[in-house]
Amino acid sequence: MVINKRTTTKQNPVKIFSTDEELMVAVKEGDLDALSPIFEKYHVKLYNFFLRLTGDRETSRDLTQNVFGRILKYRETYNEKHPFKTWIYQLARNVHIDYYNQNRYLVSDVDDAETIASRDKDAIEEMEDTERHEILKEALGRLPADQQEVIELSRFQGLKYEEISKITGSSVPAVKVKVHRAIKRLKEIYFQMV
Amino acid sequence: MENCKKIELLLIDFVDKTLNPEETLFVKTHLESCKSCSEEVDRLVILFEEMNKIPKEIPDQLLRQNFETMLKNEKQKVVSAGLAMAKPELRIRWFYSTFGQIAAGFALLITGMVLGLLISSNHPGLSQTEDLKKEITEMKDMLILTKLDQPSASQRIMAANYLEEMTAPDKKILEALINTMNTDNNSNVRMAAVNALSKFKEQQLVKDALVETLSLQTDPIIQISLINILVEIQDKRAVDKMKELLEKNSTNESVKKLAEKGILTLV
Repeated sequence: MVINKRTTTKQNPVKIFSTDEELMVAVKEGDLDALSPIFEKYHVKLYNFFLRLTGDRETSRDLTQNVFGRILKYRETYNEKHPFKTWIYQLARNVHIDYYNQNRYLVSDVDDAETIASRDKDAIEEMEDTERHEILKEALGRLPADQQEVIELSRFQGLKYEEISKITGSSVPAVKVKVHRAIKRLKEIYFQMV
Repeated sequence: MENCKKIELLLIDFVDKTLNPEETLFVKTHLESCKSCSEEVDRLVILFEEMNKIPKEIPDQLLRQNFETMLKNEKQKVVSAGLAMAKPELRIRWFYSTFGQIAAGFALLITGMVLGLLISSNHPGLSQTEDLKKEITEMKDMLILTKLDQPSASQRIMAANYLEEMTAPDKKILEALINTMNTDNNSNVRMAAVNALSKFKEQQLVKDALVETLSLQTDPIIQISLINILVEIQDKRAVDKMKELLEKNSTNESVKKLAEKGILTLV
């Protein structure tokens, strides 16, 4: 029978040009090494995602690790018909929400410490660019958590409205309005500070 | 002024150049005549530029190390889970060890030699030879059954392929193979089981199992070979199963086409 051929193709190593979805299906079927290229592609993005939202490197490292832990844990539930990108950001978002809920009070303390530290730094740093980055970071930090998140997804992670809609479960028009409001607020705060 | 409200919602996409041509034109015309809106656009451009300039941080090596450790641990977990899953029902511990398998091999060899001696020596009782023959087949059966239980997929495939060469496997073996075809988590092993079973498709037990399994299989390649086999054995019961496949949205298009053809030939 011609179909017998298939029995020999299974053990092939992961192709370099596999899509995220193909890789994740391989992970789901038990080829855990297929997760490595996914890690390479996403870990810096996710780390910066958490870093901007939490302002803490160690936390961001743990949360990034957490996302990949959840991918492994829930690999059976991955549905290959849905884009992998929205799935991984969904997981990332949940990881952040869990962290935020657990550390609600702690977070504000950290924020204060960060703010003070960044002001001290400003005094020493002469570079205008760095100064503006710090102001922008501070302005972002003053936004409510949900607005921070929507700016993170749409601007820093470069996701489309449709993708954010899938990740957050809001409709596309609702996402557009949320992004609009968050950017408007950020703009106001930022231009008051500079 | 009335337009400013409407325009405001479009400005982000205007700066990002993701509006459609009509919307773009609409915004552009408005900006020419509205000073406050065009100032807003300037500020947005500055803000987005600043946001793009925030440098990306590269995480330290610890993140990668932790990831690799996690992956290694998970892989080990999978391996040990696979071992634990080996079926209790047909398990004979002794057979599992390599020693056990070698010993079984020797036992086969010795039985064979004894049989040979018996045949060549003065006319042995016919019933005795037959007993021995039976013993050998049982021995082989046992080996196959154990192999079907191996954690390694390639071992299970080998067992299934070996079965295909047998002329008249007994019921226990067929049942084990049917079980493998229905429940093995590796699609290649299931495929090998289907192939092996198709050789005994004339037996009622196998025929029933092949019909039933069509609704259990999700791999399109397995579905395709099953349909071919079912059409070959002309089993009318398969028609309903194929209809089921046609109704499922998740069914692969080529499978659907083949199922349609199959139904036509069977009905």
